[in-house]
Amino acid sequence: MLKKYLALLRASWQGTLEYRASILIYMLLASMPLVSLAVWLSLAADAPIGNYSSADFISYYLALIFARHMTGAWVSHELDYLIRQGLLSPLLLKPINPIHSQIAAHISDKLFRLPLVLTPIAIAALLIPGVHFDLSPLTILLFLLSLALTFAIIFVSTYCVGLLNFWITHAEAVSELWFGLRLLLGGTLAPIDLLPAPIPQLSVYLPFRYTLSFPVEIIIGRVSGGELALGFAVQLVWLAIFIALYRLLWVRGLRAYSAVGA
Amino acid sequence: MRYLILLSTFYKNALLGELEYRANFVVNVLMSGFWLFWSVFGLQIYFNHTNAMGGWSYDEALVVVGLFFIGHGYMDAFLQPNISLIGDHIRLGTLDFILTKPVNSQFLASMRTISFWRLGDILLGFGIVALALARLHVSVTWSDALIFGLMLVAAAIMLYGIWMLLVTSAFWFVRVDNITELFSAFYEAARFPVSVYRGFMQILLTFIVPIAFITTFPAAALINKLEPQYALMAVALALALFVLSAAFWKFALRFYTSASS
Repeated sequence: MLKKYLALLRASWQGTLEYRASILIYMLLASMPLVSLAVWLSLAADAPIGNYSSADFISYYLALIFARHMTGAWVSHELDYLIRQGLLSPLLLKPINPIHSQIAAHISDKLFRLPLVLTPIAIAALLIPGVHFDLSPLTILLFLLSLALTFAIIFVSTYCVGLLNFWITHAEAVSELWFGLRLLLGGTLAPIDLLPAPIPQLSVYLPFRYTLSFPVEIIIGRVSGGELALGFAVQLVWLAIFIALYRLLWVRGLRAYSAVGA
Repeated sequence: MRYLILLSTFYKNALLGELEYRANFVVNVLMSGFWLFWSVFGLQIYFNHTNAMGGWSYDEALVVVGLFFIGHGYMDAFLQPNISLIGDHIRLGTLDFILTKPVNSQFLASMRTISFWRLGDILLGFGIVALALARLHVSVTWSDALIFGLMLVAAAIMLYGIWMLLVTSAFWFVRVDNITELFSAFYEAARFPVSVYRGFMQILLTFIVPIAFITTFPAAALINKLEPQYALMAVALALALFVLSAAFWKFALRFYTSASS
């Protein structure tokens, strides 16, 4: 399996390099958090909002932009195309589940982005006074762990949405819905603790926090102890739920799938 | 006159095509409703922590949200479908079919079709504007309405000009779908009054990527917040962008290499 993955990664890396210009443009597209940051900065100009000062907002959104780049997935569009055009058929003939080449493609995309995102964020963090991250080795380790789990949840859930194309023609609308809710409740529009009650309390158990906000809260040092353990537990439970859903949809979907012209 | 007849034929064809996919209508309405809820709830989140955003109250900012929807619906209905057709024409070399017709090629390429179901967003936007104005108890005078109308037309022309400039670059870059998405990303900033942004950002969003003229200034015209020089600037900017886009299109056609011969 490891050897297969290395081969897939090598192939994906070639693809990533080929489309480097597109990826650079897509990276610039992640402007939504910057708009939210600008609004919060204007609101927090005179006095802190909740327990966020201007510098806290900047730290929060810098970490969020990094996390967003490292966890994003576009696989539902890909599946929409593959299933609708019948292009899934040749992939099914290969001796490896098509999900693995998608995983490899996403990993190589993240590797390509890593230095490009990290450099400007590190420079901004050094230049802007008051920006602060909790960079103890343990926190970094927990941050990376939750970041990986966040990516896994986004990837598998988006894959599930893509698989809906086996049955319905408007899976893109479901994908838009899932994306919109994540922006609203996952920490992009506002840090979750600034959302109106009872959303912050409920967020501990809802999936949205674990699709972006959770690793960000860790690296800015706002979650610790029992809350941290609970967060990881809930994140793992959601990942397990989405993986189970994926298995179900994939097996049922293949039975429903009928390609034309193959 | 001939162009109006052509335009009505194009739009009739587009409507007939869309009537075949009526489920799209239902899905579009549901999604518009979702994004409407999203935008209003999102605005509410910020106003839970403040009374004013860049000097605008909640109801005043709601007028801007309405204009954001109007602009969004206009782009999705009138510009986006044509822009992606032009991109395909240039990439595949089928622009020949447009260049050989006895009408202005830019008109034919950029007005060819329309996404009818997306017009719903425009109506929704006007609905939000009306609701916000009712909550503000402002009485809109005829002259305010006239200036608002003028600024809306100017905004529509500006957006057209910007999108045409972007898609025309496809003669060199071949793939333009990301370039147009880049503008959509900028457009996200138009959800809020431009006075929210500070320093360089405000100048950028007012004069370089002039989205302030799409949402903030027309909204300001309705609620007596507009400094009159911006109305004049809007007209000038719209004219400039239109002339520039036409000139760029003509210039770019010289670089078009067909694929068929």
